[in-house]
Amino acid sequence: MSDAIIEVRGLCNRFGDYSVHENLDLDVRAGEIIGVVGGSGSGKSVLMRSILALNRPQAGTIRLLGKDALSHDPASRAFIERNTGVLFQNAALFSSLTVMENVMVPLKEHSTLPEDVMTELAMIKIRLAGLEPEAAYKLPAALSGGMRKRAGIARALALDPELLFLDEPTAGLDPISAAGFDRLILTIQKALGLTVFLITHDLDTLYTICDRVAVIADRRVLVTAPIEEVAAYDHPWIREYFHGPRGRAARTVTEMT
Amino acid sequence: MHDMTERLDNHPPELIDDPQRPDVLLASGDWTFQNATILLGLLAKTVAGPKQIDALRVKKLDATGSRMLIKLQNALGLENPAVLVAPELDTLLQAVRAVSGKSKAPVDTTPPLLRMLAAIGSWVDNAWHNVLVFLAFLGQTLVSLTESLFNPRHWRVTSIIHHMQVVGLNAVPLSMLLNFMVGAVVAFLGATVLKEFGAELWVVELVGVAFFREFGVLLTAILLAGRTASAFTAQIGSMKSGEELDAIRTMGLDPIEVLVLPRIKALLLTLPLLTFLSTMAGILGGMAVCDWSLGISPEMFVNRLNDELSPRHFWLGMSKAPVFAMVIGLIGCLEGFKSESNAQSVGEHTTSSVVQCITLVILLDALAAMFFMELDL
Repeated sequence: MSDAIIEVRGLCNRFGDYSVHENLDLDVRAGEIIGVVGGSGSGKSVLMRSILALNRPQAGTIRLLGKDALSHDPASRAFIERNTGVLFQNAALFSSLTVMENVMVPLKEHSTLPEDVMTELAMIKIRLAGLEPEAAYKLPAALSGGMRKRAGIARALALDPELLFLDEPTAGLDPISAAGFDRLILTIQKALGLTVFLITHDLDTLYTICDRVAVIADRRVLVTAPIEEVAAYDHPWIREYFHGPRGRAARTVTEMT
Repeated sequence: MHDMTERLDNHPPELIDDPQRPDVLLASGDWTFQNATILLGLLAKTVAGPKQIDALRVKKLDATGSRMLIKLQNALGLENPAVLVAPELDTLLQAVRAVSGKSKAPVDTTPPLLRMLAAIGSWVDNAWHNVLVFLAFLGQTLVSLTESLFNPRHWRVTSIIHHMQVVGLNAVPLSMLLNFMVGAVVAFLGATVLKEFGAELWVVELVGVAFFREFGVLLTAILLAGRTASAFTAQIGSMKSGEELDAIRTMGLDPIEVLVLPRIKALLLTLPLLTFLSTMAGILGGMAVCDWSLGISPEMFVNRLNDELSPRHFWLGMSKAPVFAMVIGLIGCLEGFKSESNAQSVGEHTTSSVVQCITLVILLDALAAMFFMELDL
């Protein structure tokens, strides 16, 4: 049996005449942080949406935690939903609920625990995500961008999932908050033993926390490997990305630390 | 590497007294969120006594399970390090322990009576504030409207035409169908009542007066209140939550001129036209029923309308159309501006805009009816 926790084979996604993915393959191993990079419009988010069954591909198979992610079987859907947490790009918190209520939404749906136990568990997730307990009773509109993302992480962790999906977690954060967020992801991943699927543009994130990096270009995954190997791969986009001015800066800093 | 099947199998958690070592509780199985209910049951059954918790045999542990272990430790009143777990799970246990401190939800201690009075007070204050805001908005819009009339550059013809299509043209079939059916119903009712007096012919006047003076414009306005005011509120509300209104302001544009005026102008132009079509549809409905069940032929119907009804009824009805257009446009847009940047608020204000529009339209119509009656028109 394969040890891949996410296994994508021959994925094809087309929108009208426009093809996003052709025969895309990807394996994510249990317990790793995989960073998915690619130019704007290369289909990183579409790949994540396909894995999460938010978007039906034209062809291909996707297996998640050993189950068919594209099947409509309610039992396997429920299993997958219980074991995946997602942080969307703008956190997608429910704007009319407090942070605490946001985190309780999945708990209430998937368990029959008493209210006080749920509150307690939700508070643990909120604090694990690095928020002060006071923030739990605020509405998302009263939080800063970084805090909203942390609240989003807390909600994604509510059900103690095996798999965490993060769509550009550091986008829109200042460099200090972004570095703090990278550390948070790493701490949570280590403590909870999660597998993290992370879409990013942030080279610092790639260098500091990703075990492996998958590059999407030319409608497929070009290469999946540790970052040094990926940076040495010969492809125009990869050269431009890793060896452009920003790429060099990020690499130098990592080598220094 | 973990084997997938073993990873995903569920082992029910257990908690027993260690047969070999007294004072030691032995935990095993999966201490996970999935088993949280069982864990709560196990915790409830434990009695004080044990001095140590041996969780080395716990196969899977997550944040929920860790919290349960810590709860158990606290319940037994044990100091650290009373819980033994496998080294690879210890990081998690420590991380959860670090955030397991007590934290209470803020409690509102105000007495209920006082809270009720405060709620009523803020409701009244809010209502009064809303009246002021509406008047201010009306004034601002009228000023902008007057200004734009003298400044052809600010007419925004494309925008007006677009809204005329959405607000007016697209509503024609629905509005005419509704009025046709109400026209038929009014004729039926009239026929039933007037038959008793042998005055069936008066159904023509009944339908004519009802639609020319009241129903044509009123039904159209109510339809647009539901269809258009809600759309205006939702559009402007979601633009506000997307910071689009701020973008408009920073570009030196006036949101009232860009967003409100084209909508109000479109309504001012189309509501009278729509009213005319709806009135005709209502008359047609009445005519159909007269022909079908009373034997009044369409020629007779039209002749009688011409002979007995003065055109002033028509003009009275039409004179209300611009007023209703103004009310629908103003409230629809104003509620959009008042909404906050969340889905709940946009929804609440959309509801409120429809309710306010319908209420105001009917209220104004009733006042107008009394006014014209006093004037003997």
